[in-house]
Amino acid sequence: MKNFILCLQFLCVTTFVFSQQNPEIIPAKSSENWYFSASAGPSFIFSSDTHAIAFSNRLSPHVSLSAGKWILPQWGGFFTLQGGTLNNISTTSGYFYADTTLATVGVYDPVIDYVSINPDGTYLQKIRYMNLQCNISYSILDALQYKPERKFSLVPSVGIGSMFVFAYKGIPKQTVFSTQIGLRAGYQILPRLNVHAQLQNVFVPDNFEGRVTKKQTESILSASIGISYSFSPKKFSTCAVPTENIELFAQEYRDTVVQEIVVRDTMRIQSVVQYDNFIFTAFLFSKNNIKPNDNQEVHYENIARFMKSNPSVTIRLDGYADESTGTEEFNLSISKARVSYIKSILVKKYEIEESRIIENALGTKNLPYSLDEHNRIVLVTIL
Amino acid sequence: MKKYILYASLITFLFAACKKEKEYKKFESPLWQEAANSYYTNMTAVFVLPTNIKTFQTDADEIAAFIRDTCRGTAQIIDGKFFITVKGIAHEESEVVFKYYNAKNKYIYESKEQWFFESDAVIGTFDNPITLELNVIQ
Repeated sequence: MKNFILCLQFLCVTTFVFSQQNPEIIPAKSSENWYFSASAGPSFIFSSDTHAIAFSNRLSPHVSLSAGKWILPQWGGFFTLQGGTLNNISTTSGYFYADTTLATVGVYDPVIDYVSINPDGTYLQKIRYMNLQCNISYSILDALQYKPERKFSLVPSVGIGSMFVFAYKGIPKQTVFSTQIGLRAGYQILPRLNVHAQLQNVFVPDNFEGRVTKKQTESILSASIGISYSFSPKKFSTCAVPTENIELFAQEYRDTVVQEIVVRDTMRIQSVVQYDNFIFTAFLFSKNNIKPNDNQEVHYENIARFMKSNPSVTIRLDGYADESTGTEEFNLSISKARVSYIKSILVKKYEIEESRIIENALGTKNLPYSLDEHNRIVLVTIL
Repeated sequence: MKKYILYASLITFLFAACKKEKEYKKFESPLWQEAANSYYTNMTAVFVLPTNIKTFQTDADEIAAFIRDTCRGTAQIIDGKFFITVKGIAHEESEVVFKYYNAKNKYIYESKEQWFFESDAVIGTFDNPITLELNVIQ
């Protein structure tokens, strides 16, 4: 249980730290970017005496189930439950937990009462285990460049966890700490379905099967193939308004301020006429959400300041929705809801007169941007 | 086509992981006995088993010495050590093969090292026994 709590803390801390690194991508909400995967394949143990057994006899099957989440395009976390049988070769040299004739250990391995001994004194152990781990994963290709449409993925991972060894044919029941490194290559065959091949190495203490030798750790190499199902396609929103618009607006806004200071009221009215219908700012939204994404409160503040210092100005809220999801009617209604929400904040919290805000919900009509995630937007236009 | 490659890989993976382990030939107790003959010289040997096999040693184990497939002596076990007297003829100088039967695992082994009969020779002592290197008989 302690190990499990440690794993959870490890996962939370690491994902939090890494999620702070890319301010342009909005980390996935708790309900987004979850996936489930199942895989199977052979495992292979490297223990003290494995040289005494043929390679093919060392292979044993395992299955694993994972549930995970992508927090950022490149960073994610997942839990894995892997179980199976390991074909380990052993000898009677060493000490054994199952024999307590010498205090906590003894020299007699009870496994030899259950198995066939080879002529050289070695014998095959069947170790039944279950390994529960939490891991962090790093998508190399998404770290280089995030492309939601990319089909290939290459994901190394590291993790820690607990391995439960079951009492079976002389092997004592034990729980040991385990660590793992892995590499998964995936290919998207359907929008929500991936196939993958994976290599994973789990490190466990030398005594995990109840035998103490001079080695510190033993490692279990697993190769597997399997499928992953994403509950929603791996997609992330950006919190940046398209750069070209920001720069254009910033330039225009600076000009307006300069003219206002120099010539005061008369020129201020002229300047507003000069910049008729320019986009003042924009609010971005997540899919199916009528509240703007986090960290956009500053836009309300800027709109309110500008409108209070320019009492004749009115604004128009142009609401849009992305084209890839939902019907036309639904998109129109969600864009209306987004516009209403922004207006209500400006009116109630920032005390802007309702008559100075024009609502204009457009749904998917005349979408302003080419990328879908940019079109979940309300543009604020100065009139 | 991709689908078939995927299925084939999966099946290969799983079959590779399910191969049966090798089985070795096992024997019932041979109950070796010296051939009744008029041998009037002998050599003695004190052996112990190598560590990897010693673990499985029991009092029912047997060791015997053979010259040209004739049993020339059987061992007594004292404190886990095998004491054997090999009988022969003076100046015989024939190769002696020691065979060991492990009663627990039912394997028969024979000595790897070459030994030759020599009258009154002593191989190993109680305090310093010789470790018998063995090959399993299949």
